[in-house]
Amino acid sequence: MRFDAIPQGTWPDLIYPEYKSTAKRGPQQAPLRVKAPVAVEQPLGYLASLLSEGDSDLTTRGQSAPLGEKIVVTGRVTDEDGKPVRNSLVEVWQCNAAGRYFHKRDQHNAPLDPNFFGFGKFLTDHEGRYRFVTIKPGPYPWANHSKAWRPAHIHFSLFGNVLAQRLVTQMYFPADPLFPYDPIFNSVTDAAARDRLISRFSIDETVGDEMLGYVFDIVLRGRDATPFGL
Amino acid sequence: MSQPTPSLPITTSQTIGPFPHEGWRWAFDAHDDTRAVQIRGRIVDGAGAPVDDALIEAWVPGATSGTVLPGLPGLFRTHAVEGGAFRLCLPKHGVAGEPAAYVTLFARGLTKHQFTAVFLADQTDAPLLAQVPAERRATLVAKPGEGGGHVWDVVLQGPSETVFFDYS
Repeated sequence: MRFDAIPQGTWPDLIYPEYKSTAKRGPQQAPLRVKAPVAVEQPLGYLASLLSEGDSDLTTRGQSAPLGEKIVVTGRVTDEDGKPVRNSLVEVWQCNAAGRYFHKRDQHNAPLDPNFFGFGKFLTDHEGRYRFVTIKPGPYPWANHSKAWRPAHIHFSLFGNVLAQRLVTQMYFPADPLFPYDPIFNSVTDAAARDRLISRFSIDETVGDEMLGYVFDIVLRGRDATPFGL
Repeated sequence: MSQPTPSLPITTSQTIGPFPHEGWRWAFDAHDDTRAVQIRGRIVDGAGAPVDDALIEAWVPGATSGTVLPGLPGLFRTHAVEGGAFRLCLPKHGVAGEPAAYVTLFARGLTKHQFTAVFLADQTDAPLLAQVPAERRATLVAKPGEGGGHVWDVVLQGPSETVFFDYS
């Protein structure tokens, strides 16, 4: 595959002063553009043993239903040519409806939900589509600055079909009032690139009286793909 | 070269944040002293402070099966611990001209994942390493460790910053 240079402002700034922990963690040197045929051509192989029952329904992992607003999130993963990224691994993780992660380091004074752990994984299908059921995550405070609250988000980890397509990102919800105040969201300086992180509500994906639907399409890097994985 | 057709704009990155561990745990690789390539190191920031919440993925070229990670042949995922310490226990591959592993780093405060690679002392004739300016190559080469194994430290920022890649 071919990996063209990404326009300025599309990737987040590696050092973005308003996001304080970037000050010492962000690399200062521009990444070195290299030829590495293995990283752009060798297909990642996925084995069926990777998935377990319930991995794509985060509401079924407890003794009973978790608290909060049940939603379904779906979308299509493509490359820059619009070709589906098939049979590729996607991982998601998030906090619960009250804004608390199931994680020993999360000290937010909000309740854990004994029926919600907030992580899942699945493979894209032949069209590059994925779909999972979860609870709408809550906003939560973090210590970056006074009244620092993260807009509600779901973390996504995507492997694509070759190593160079690897991506970790966050999906947001429409019209969140916290967007202007969030330095993580705004570390992406190109407004259009930020907007592409926001899912859209979909009445078509909404399931009857059960749950609202959101659509989040993802474009991974790479062009001129040859068909992988049959 | 011409650009005949417009491309779709990519989905950008956001930091992994401090809380990925539970969701990523299913694929954490157990330390295995029997594997042929034992690499240990520390990941530090621009002030020399440990990055104890980093996530590290090592992908061994050429591996197609036989690894213990469930589902992703050749991929070894681990996380840094106290002091920024990490261990990579990898199989030795037989692919000439390749690093011991292609490495991807993630951390809170790192707004985008970083691609790099680790080479052993007998892999320094690799074409990938030849593309790195000579004065920075040492950041990608593991040194022999006391008592065996290899030592490779990762520096996110500063004069001895590890070389990070943009694959083309």
